[in-house]
Amino acid sequence: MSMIYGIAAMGWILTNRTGEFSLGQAGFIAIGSYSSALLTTKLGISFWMALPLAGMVGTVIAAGIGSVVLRLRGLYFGLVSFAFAEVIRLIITGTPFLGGGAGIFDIPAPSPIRFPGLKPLEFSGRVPLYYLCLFLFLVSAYVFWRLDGSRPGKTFRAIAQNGKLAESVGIYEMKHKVQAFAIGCFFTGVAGSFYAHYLNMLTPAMFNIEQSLWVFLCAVLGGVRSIVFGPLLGALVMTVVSNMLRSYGSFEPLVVGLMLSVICLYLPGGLISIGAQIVRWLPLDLTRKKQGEVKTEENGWQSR
Amino acid sequence: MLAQSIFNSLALGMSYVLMSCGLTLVFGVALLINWPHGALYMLGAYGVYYVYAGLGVNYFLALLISITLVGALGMLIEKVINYPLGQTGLLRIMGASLGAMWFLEGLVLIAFGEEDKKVPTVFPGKMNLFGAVLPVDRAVVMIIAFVIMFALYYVLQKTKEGKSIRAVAQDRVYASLQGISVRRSRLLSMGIGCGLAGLAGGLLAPIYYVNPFMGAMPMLKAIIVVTVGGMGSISGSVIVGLALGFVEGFGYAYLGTWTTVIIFTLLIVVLLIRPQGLLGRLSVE
Repeated sequence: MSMIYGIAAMGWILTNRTGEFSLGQAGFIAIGSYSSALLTTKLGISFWMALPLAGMVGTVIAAGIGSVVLRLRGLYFGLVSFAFAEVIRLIITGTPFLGGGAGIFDIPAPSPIRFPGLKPLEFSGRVPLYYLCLFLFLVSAYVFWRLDGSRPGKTFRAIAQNGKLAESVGIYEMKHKVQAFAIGCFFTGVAGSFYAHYLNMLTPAMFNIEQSLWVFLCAVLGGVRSIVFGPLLGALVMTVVSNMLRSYGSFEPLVVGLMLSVICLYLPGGLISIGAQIVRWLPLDLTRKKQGEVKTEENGWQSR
Repeated sequence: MLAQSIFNSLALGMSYVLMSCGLTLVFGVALLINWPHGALYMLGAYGVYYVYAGLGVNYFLALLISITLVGALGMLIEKVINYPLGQTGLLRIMGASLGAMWFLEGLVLIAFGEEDKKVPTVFPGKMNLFGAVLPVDRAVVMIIAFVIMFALYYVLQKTKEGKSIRAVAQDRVYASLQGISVRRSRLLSMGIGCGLAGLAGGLLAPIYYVNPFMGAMPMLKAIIVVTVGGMGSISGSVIVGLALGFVEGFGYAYLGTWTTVIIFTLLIVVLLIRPQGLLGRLSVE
């Protein structure tokens, strides 16, 4: 579960790299999972084809929506994406072809892969699906990591820092924003597709506002500066904590809420920065010495 | 039938107006969306449930206590979360205040349980007006809401504190150059805004059920109203809040579920054409 949110949260961070934030990722999880579910149940396409296709559907819709909507900035883009996710959910609820309010059932598990000369690879139980999810996570983590360190990633950051300045050196702001959004939504769609086949059923109620906020909060909690480990840690902590508490009754919102507030208040870089933050809090001799050294150096430079 | 629909829409619209005026007031001054607003609405309702239905205090006194406490809580949120994080960007404020929202909901969940609670009606009976049947309690809510809106208008237009709030909303730098404490105005507007949310919750508690998660839907509607009406514009919130009440009141009678789709599509269209909202003048980066 946390891997799925991890992938979705990475997609979110990629959009955030250009300085915008989306509050409607549940809409794209819904698009991915519904398109995958429809492809496999109605058309009989295998899971392995439906998975990338679901991502493609997410990309196409994100590119289409993004090229219109990304003209807005900041909070307004957040609100539009949020409204968009709600529209998607309500359209699914109101359309009988898409299962309506009741949802889609009996979504097949991934079909086995047959290698010549080897035993077929089955994906029927929870454990193989877990490994499949891990594999998907690693692949997308690798893609995001490479993308973030390479030229496009740097371009996205340049846009976030100063869009006008970036345009002045020949970076087309809109194009790159749409790019980041579309790539992010490809992986969100893939995560959604896996989600559908993992649960075997879908209802529109699964893609409510809370889901969108959850993706966003995983990223913020983990730390938005790191594109792979931040979302992974955030998603892991959020999922594990809420699942553990769910079995103890009604403490879940209280503790999750408190955890979020405290982390946002006291850890500016998210959970990922907890080590560095603790070092800063502790009155260690090591750090003091370093500061002292720096000071004398500065003084020496000034006196020169 | 028509008169009935109009009354229902008006009652619905007034409740939206109360919620969104508080939200837009806070936005205008502090430039942030007060995410726990829905939770504060819920707390207002639970305050009335506990003090009026539980302890047996007079309804209006219970309402007053409830509003005061919720307003104070809003100020506390401003002190602890919104102000210290003010310079660090939207993301952390949003994370922290969503956390606060869940924290408050969780608190009520543990204290009162998750099942629906009923607050006994204060004003029983129905009255006939222009051929429509109007429950007395809804009529009272509408009257109180009108009175409160005029009181808010008076406070913002005429009193020194209200003027300082408006000045900060217009331009915080020049306001502070005039000797207005931005911090104090933010605190005040947060208190008033959250008090309005508590009032809305307390007023509607006897009409609807009380539930720890009852705040989500009004919050969603308030965000729509505030965005369409223009963030920071109170007159925009009043007009759009009433309009939304009418769209929903008539829409559900004739269109059913698709009304909500239409509302959200309208929201997107308005944001694309006029991001600052119909009556807004503020622009946020």
